[in-house]
Amino acid sequence: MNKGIVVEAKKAKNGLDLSPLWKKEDWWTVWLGIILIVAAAVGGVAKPALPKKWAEGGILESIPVDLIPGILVTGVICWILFSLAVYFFKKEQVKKFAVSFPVIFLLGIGAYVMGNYAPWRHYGFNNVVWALVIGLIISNTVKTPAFLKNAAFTELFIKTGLVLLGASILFNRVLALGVMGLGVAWIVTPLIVLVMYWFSQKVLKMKDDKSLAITIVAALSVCGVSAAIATGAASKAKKEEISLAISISLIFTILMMILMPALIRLFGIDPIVGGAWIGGTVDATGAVVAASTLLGEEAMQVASVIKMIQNILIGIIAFGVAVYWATVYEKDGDSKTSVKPIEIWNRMPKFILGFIGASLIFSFFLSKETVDATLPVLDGYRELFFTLAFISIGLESNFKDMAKMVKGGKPLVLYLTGQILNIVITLAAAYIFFSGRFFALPF
Amino acid sequence: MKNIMDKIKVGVTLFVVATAFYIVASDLGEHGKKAGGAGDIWWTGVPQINAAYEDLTRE
Repeated sequence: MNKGIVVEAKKAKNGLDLSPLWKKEDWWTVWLGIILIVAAAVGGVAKPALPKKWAEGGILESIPVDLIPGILVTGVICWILFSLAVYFFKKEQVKKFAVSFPVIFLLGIGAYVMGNYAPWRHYGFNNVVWALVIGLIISNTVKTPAFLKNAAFTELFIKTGLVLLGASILFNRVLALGVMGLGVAWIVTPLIVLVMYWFSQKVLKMKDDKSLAITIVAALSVCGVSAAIATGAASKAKKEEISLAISISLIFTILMMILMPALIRLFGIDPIVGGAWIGGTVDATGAVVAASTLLGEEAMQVASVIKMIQNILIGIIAFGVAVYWATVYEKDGDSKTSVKPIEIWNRMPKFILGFIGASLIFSFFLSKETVDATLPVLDGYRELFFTLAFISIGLESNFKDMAKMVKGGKPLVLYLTGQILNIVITLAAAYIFFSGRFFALPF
Repeated sequence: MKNIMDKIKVGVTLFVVATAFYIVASDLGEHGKKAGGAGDIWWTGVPQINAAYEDLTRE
């Protein structure tokens, strides 16, 4: 059993030890998330100022002069928040962090500028992908300077971003399309997750790559990048594993975004059924809108809402994976011994509490006006934190380690098989629920 | 048999990557004419998604 877990379990036996609440990085992701959520809800922080989309007008469109002070303020807010957290859980490193973080932030701004070039962004090369590329280029060419590693707190950035992501998982929207939406998004998706995870373990024998397998399966069946990040963090996947899942998802999203509308028109499939099919299968949320627009307004609306309902599932899947990993895979030697709740609690990544808590509060306790006003602020910071996380991942990764994971082709076979199964079953579900033959359409 | 499987794997991988590259290089998705795109990874980043939800629930 993990030493840390034993120590925590002993402490728990001897009495209530509250110090992890301020000494553990994992807890600080929850606190930072709460601080930002409360600040956004009371109007204490505005949407972060970040480089804008640009195209023919040139790169200067991305950072007009009047945006620079706002970007600096955004950087200072992040610097204060993360330095505060590092001060409590790794005091000896806080000075080095405070000096190095501005460089990570500047690299992140660079990733935004590259990722906001409209033609490339349309095909998935967004700020998160560019952050990874920039980090990888530095680490694999000039090597990551030691001082930069002091600020590469990947888990702090990624998990704080995930707590903020939780706020936009709105369970109260699940029934937007009635039973039909649930039929496509909430029956097919969990089925694919279960079948393909079984396939990865029993057929592909990815026994040593369980976290990679579940990360790829979540990416292909739920919503690509966001699902890979949330499930990867919940299953304690390696940084390179999350990067690999995102890269595979990106390539297939490009293909599906173009080929699926073409197939739907080629075979004369009803646009509403086609919209539901695209909403249930294409990984990236924005790609769903781009692809379904070709089929007409109604198809786009159905596809969009199906995708939104499917996005909500990531809350349940990430929570389920965190509990399952803590209960089954991190269990002590004897598989027959039942795991005590306190052990599950100790092993559970704590960010998942903030992630689910934010989701429940925004779904059921806040007014629509507050949710509408707060989400854009949190969404801006969430995206920025993911970008900082992928700069850090790139800085700590090398191509050799990534190539090792692809060796043998199992991750690609898993994705390809899963996506084909997803496409076939979702088409059947879209036909059953949205053709109008079995259920009356809600519009 | 293993050789054939390996060649199939390499062939499929190259085909997938080459097709993706062709799509991007030729702008088959006509990026300028469409809202959204694969770079927007979450529903809050795509205004059309919330608009579609509001429309459907109003109806």
